[in-house]
Order: sequence, then C-alpha cells, then structure tokens
Amino acid sequence: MTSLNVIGKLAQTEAVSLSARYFLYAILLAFFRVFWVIGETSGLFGKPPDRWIGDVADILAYLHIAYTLAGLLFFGEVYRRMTDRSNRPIAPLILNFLGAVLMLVFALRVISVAEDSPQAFVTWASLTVNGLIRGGVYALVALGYTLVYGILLMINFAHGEVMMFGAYTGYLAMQFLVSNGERSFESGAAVLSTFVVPVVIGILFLPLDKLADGYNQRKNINFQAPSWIFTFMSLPMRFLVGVAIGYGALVGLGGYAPQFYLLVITIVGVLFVMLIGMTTSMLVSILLERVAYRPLRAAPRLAPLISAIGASIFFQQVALRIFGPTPKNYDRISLLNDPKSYSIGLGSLGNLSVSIVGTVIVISSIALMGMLYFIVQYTKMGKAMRAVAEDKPTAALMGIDVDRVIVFTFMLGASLAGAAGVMLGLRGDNINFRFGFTPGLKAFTAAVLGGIGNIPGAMFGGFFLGVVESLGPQMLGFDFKWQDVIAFSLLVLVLIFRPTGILGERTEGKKV
Amino acid sequence: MQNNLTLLRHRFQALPSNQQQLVAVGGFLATTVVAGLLNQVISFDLLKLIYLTLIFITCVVIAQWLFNYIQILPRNIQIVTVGIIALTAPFILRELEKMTDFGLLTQVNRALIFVALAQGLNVVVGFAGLLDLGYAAFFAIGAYTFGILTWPSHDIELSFFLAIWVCAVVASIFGMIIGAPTLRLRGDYLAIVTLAFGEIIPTVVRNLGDFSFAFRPVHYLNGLTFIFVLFAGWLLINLLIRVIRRDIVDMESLQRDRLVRTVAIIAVLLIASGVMRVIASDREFELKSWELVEDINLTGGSQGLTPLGKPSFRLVEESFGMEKNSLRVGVNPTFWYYAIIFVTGIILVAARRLDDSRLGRAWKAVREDETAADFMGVDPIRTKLLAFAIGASFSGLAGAVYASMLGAIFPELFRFQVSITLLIIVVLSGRGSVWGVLVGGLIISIFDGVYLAQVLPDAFPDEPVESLRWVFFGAGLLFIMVFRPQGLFPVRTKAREQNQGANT
Repeated sequence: MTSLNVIGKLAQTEAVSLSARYFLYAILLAFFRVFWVIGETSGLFGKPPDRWIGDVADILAYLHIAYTLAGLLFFGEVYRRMTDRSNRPIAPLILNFLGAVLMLVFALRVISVAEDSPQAFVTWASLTVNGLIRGGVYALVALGYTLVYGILLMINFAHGEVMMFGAYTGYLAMQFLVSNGERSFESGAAVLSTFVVPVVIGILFLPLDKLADGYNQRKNINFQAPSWIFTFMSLPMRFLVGVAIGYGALVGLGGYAPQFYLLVITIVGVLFVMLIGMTTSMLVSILLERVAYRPLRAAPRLAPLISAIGASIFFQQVALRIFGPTPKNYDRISLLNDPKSYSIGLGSLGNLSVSIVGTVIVISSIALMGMLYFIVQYTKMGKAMRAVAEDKPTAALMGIDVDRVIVFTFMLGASLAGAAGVMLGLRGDNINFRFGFTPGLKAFTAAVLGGIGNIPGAMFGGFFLGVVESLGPQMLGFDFKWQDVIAFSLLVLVLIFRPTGILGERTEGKKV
Repeated sequence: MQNNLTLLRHRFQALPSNQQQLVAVGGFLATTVVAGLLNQVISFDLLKLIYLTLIFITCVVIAQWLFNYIQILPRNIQIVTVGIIALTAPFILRELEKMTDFGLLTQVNRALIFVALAQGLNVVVGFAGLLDLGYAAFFAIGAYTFGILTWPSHDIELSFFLAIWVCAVVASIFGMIIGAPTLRLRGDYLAIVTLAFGEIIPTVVRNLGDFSFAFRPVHYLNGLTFIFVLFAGWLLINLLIRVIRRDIVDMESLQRDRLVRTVAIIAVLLIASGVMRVIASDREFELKSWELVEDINLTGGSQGLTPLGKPSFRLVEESFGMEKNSLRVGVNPTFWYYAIIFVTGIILVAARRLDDSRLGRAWKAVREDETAADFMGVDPIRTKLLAFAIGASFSGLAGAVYASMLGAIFPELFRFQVSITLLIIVVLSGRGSVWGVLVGGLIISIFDGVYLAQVLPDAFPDEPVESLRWVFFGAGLLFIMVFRPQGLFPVRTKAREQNQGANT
C-alpha cells in the first residue's frame, strides 16, 4: 500500500512541478542525444559504431523518452487544475510539455537524417565555422538593436538601413582607394599608408614625455620634468621625428619584408574603409534619431515603430536613388581573398578549411564587441548609458544629459552596424538597396534570442543564431533554402518558451 | 531642430481639422515634387508634374469633401448615395478610360481588394491595437488556399463560391495559429514576430513546390545488454528492499532520497533497454525507411499556380438550358468590379458592425489598457485571438477573390511591401476608422496604381518615376506619424482626444 500512497501524494502535491521538471530534463536530454548521435555518425568518436558509443546513444535515447513519459504521467493533473479554476500555475507545465514534444520530434528527425545520410565530422565543423562567421556579423548588428532597446524600449527598425549605408560608403571608400592607386586595392592602400602611417606614428610620439615621466616614476628615477613650455615647444619636433621614423619603417618594410608591408597596408586600407563606413552609419543614425524618434519620444509605443518603418523605406529608396539598382561588389583584396582559405588539420578526421575573410570577420567583430563592452562598463558615458537605461527621469535629475546619451547610444550601435556592413562587403556579398533588410531582421532575432536589452546576450544570440542557421538545414535534412524559415521559427519558439531570451533579463516588469 | 519641429507640430495641431487635412494632403503630395526635384532636376518638366499633382490633389479634396458631406447626411440617404456611386462607377470609369487611355477599372478593382485587406488589418491594428507587420501572410494563405483548391492539377476544383469561404475559414485558423503564440508578447515583439511570419510564409510557399517527406523510426542493435540487465535488476531489487523497509514512505522522503530516485530511474531505463535489445536481437528485425510522400507539388514553387478557378454558373446554365460556359466571366473587369464590391461590401458591413459591437468595444478596451480591461471582465486572450482570426478571415476572403481575378498566383505577389502598403493605408487613413480606411485605401491604392504607375510614367516616359512610390510612402509614414498621428480620416472621438492632448 505504501507505494500507492506515494503515487497518490505525488499526483496531488508535486505533480505539476515534477512533471515540468521531467519535461525540462527531457528537453536537455534531447539536445545531448542529438549531438551525441551526430558525433557518432560523423565519426568523431572513431570508426566502428559497435562500441560503448552506441550504448551511450541508447541510454540517452531511453532516458529522453523515459523523461518525456515521466512528465506525461502527471499530465492528468493539468486537466484537474484547469477545471478547478485554482490559481496554481499550469502554464510552465504546458509549455514544457510542448517543448518536450517538439524536442522529441526534432530529435527523431535529426537522428533519422543523420543515420540515413551520415556526414563527415569535417562537414559539421565547417558548417559551424561558417555559422560563427555569419554570427559575428549578426552579433554586431544585434548589439545596435539591444543598445537602443535597452535605453528607449523601442525597436530601431531602420537599423538594417544604417548598416546598408555603412556598406555602401565602405564601397565608395574602396573605390576611392582603387582610383587613387593603380586600379587595385593594394596600390591605393599603399598610397594611403604613405600618408597615414607616418602621421599616426607621429601622433603616437606626441605624448612621449608623459610616457617617460611615468617610466621614471615607476623606476623611482628622480628626474625633474621640464616645464610645460618646453613640452609644448618640443611637440612639433617629436611629431616630425615620429613621422620620419614611421616613413622610414614603411619604406624599409617595403624594401626588405614585402609580405609584412603588404599586411600593413592591407590593415591600413581595411581600417580606412571600415572607419568611413562606421562614420557614415553614425551620421545616418543621428539623422534618424533626430527626425524619426526624438519627436515621438512621448508618443504611444507604436508611433515610433511605424515612423521607423517609414524611415527604413525612405532610406532604402534614397540608397536606390543614389547608388542605383545594380548591386555593388567590393574589390578584391589579395591578402583576404586570394588564397580563399587555409586548412586546419584535425588528425584522422580530415582537414577543415576556414576562409581567411571569415577569420578576420570573427576576430574583428569580437574585438569590436570587446571595445563596446569596455565603453559601456568602464567609461563615464557608459555609466551614463546604464543609468539612462535604468531610469530616465532620475538620470536626468542626476545631471545626465539624456538626449546626448541617447544620441551617443545610437552612434555606438550604428558604428557597429557600419562595421558589420563593411565586413559583409569584404566577404563578397552583393550590396544593393535591400541589403539591410534581411540581416537586420536576423540580427533582431539574434538580439531577442539572447535577451533584448542585454549586451552579452546580443553577442551570444548573434553567434547562436548564425550557428543554428548554418547547421539547421543539414541537421533536419532540409534544403538550404529553408534556413530563413528555420531562423525565424527559432525566433518564434524562443518568444513562446522564453520571452526574456536565453540570457535575458526581466523586462516584463517595465511599463509597456 | 527638435524645438523647431515641436513648434511646427503644435502650430499645425492648433489648426482646425479640415485645414489640417488639406495641409497634410498637400504636404504629403509636395514630397513627390521634392523627390522629383532631387531626381535630376533639370530634365523634369516641373510644370507638368505640378499640374498633374494639382489634379490629383483636387480629386483628393473632392473625395474628402464628399466623405465629410456624406457623414452629415441622414442614414438612408447615405446608403442610397453610396449605393448609387458604387453601382454606376464601372460605367463612369469605362467612359473615363476611353477618354484618358489609362487602366482605371482594373486599378479600382485592385484598390477595392486592398480596401478589403486593409479592413482586416484595421481590425487587428486599429481596433485591437496589435501591430501586425506580416499581414500579407494571410493574404497569401487565402490566395494559396484558393489556388490549391481550384488548380486543375490537384483534381479538387472546388467551385469559386464555395472556395472563397473555405479560404476565409482557413485564413482565420492560420490567424489563430499565428496569433496564439504571440499573445503573451508586448507590442513591438508582436510586430517582429508577425514580420517573421510574413517572411516565413512566402518562403514556405516558394519551397512547397516540390517536397518529399520521409520519416523513419530509429532502432538500435548492439551489445552489453546482459550486463545492463543484471546491473539494473540489482538496482531495482535494492530499491524495492528500501520501500519494503519503509525507508521511503511518501513523496517527501523520496524527494529527500535523491540517490535512490536517480538509481531507480536508471534501473528502470536499463531494464527497458535490455528488454528492447533482447526482443530486437531475437527477432532480428530492422525497420526499413518508409517514405510517406514524394515529390508533391502543392504551391507551384516560384512559378506559382495558374490557371485558377473562375466563378462559373453551371447550375444557372443547366437550369435555364443555356449553352455550357456561356456565363463564364474570365477577366471581364466589370463583372469583377461587382464581385469585389459584393465581397468588400460584406467585409465593410462586418467591420462596421464589429466596430460598435460588444467585441469591438472589448478590442478597444484591450487596446487602451489591457490590465484594466482584464479587471473589467474582458478576457484579453480571447479578444486578441478573435481579432487575429477575424482580421485574417477578411484577408483570406480578399485573397481568394484576388487570386481568382488574376487567375495566377506566385510568391512575389505577397512580399513584405504588400504588408507595408496595407499598414500605410491603415495608418494614413486613421487607425480604427472603418470609413476612413475605405476612403484612404481607395485614394492611396488609386494614387499608387493610376497616378504613380500610369499617369506619371506616361507624362515622363524617360524618367524612373514609378520607383518614387516608396520614397513617397516612407516619407508619408514618417510625416503622418510626426505631425498627424491620428491619420487623415480619423475616428471623431480619436481626433478630439488627440487635439485635446495637443492643447493641454
């Protein structure tokens, strides 16, 4: 009788939370199971499948199904709770149930596809790498959405168009370089470098005395710093010395280390293109904020969204007017494009080829995100941004110029978007006037995935979405045409099951 | 700049309503001129452009005047006037077509379809306050349901008069399916999810041209079974002993004894897996992959479906002993005008009745303050779902008629631009205003289809004027949201509220 007693108690008291928990376990197990089976079929765990690997897959499968069943065991309680109109929560149970069923279907589908047509591990790895490359761009654009949303609680619908303008002006900058040199990016970049590199090094030489002071202090060297007038008088000299050294270094590189010289001028050229793109994006977003958002800041919530759509269409058409309907392509950069990829040996699993542009995109997007994180966390402006995001009126009372902070936020987001646009251009995408729409939508999806308003969330969401989009069709055995559908379905699913996003902070409490 | 804008806005809102409308329409149309100026100023014949624009403004002003005038009239006379205008319109338009060489009647038909669609969107956006950016999805669903039901290769070939209602029902079911998951979301999330659906549906339609679906249950066959079973049996016996010794009496103690619980679960699983393995290895069966369906062409892919069913009057023909297909309508625009007027009329009446109904008031309550409405006994979930369902059914109906009228459908017809056009119609005309959306929808669609697509290219054959339309629409949306958020033909109470809000 005791065991009956247990079941009866179970059904009454703990049923809902237990069953919700079982469904949760089932969902997690489904993930493990899927990845295990993919690892198994792709040969990650070695050749013959008749070892403990298959048994682990079995155990995972049975655990998965058992937890789904265990969750179902208590599902009758849901009906009772619905009918007795109590306030005890059933929503998590129903959602977890739906999630468990979806994951079961997903897992069965993925497994049957993986067993029908097993792919080599290298295929999966290269898909993941492609996803990360895509995701880097998404993450950059998503940060713009998240920043603006965090502060204004508003979706900057025209953000994709801001990105488009960045890409277009990057194209123009590249054309400028090409037309200055001998019809190739490198020659233009070389011409640019001859001006820029010495000047930059000269500028770096300007605070030389401060550095020397610091060094002396650290080393306890008792040295009387010259008065400011000497410092001031020595500025031009120091600058000139820096210029001379820079110029000399460049010429020396050109003569003795041509590969390294090529690297330096490519970096200078790409940075130039990127800076131009970022600057234009910033200007566009300032304009956008002034015209479309600021007048409507006190209006009902839908008003700025609609005006943003209007602005988005308007910007697209302006781009169409200015740049014409034919798509533009960036010129080739020999270092980025000529050997298209390099390969990484994975031992017995084969060679993984990774594109150079992709690596550059991922690294520079991570660097930009790091910069953004630094700005938001450790600078005064970043502190002000966080204060405004928390509470606008109070921030204003504390002496923060809210308008300025908002404009700064827009600029920050837009500069990242501009960089993303240039990166897409470098990757070889066609740039036309609709260029911003789909990446913008995807990036918004990424921002929601990670939890909108949450900066690490947007970064995570971007990479996550990129990988899902890239792996999804292969896993589900669909054609690659379906990847947009998969991405947007993921958005819908995340909004159903976890509206705050994967790393989301709670925004529900805020007034709508 | 902000101060100037605000000042301008206040000054504008202080004007009387009719002057506001004139200024709004004028400013709206002035953007065309400005855009034209921006676009290779010199080669444009400005006078001609201004002249044509003035003609259009005159038409708009006359329409506005008519709109205002009809609103004052007593109800019976209203109905009679609108009825006479509606019934005689095709003949007048035919005469005008002969005079001007522009396709007017087909454009009016298209405009009326867009009015019907916009009424559906108005239910969602205007009445219930849910911003839907993917409304073309329902349009597509209606049209494709009609296509699937009447495309000859599918061997269904449902009658037109039956199929359109099926389409409305299917669209409304899809409306609920799409609406249900999004109900927990706040306004702008909803906008993006609907936008995503609006992107998904055409993609799905494009990819359903040729698909096969195969599914195979998975089965495993390999070793270690015996050890598993032994281990699991030992675990289970342990557990049983504990239960018998009353270490575990109820849920609490089970909860406390986490180890036991985990062990028990693992034991059950291992036994199950062992049993399965034994069964499988005994009988040595292996499930072959079984494929359910192969190479189905449901939507025609990116080529689309053609030809589609036209209304046929077989019953009438048979009962009056007429020749077969003698009443077949084909593409005769006058017939389609009356068919569309009929459907749009039904939708208009439905929207008008819904506006003041209990449900309509519930929608508005939810729109204004969801929490308060909930406390007053309005079920927000049910109300919002109904808004999605009814809005979608309108567009399903309109989509079906549109598909039949065109005789061919393909995914490009239901792009994001359609959703935006509809949103522009609703926002520009005044959210929540049924007659406003009727008039505004007609004006905007005719402006788009006749003035921008025919009159201007005819006047300036060398210029890419048609591509101006989106500059114009985008700027119009911005302009309206900043200066006249209640729209051009607002609901009267709304207009009053807005003006009061501006003055205080």
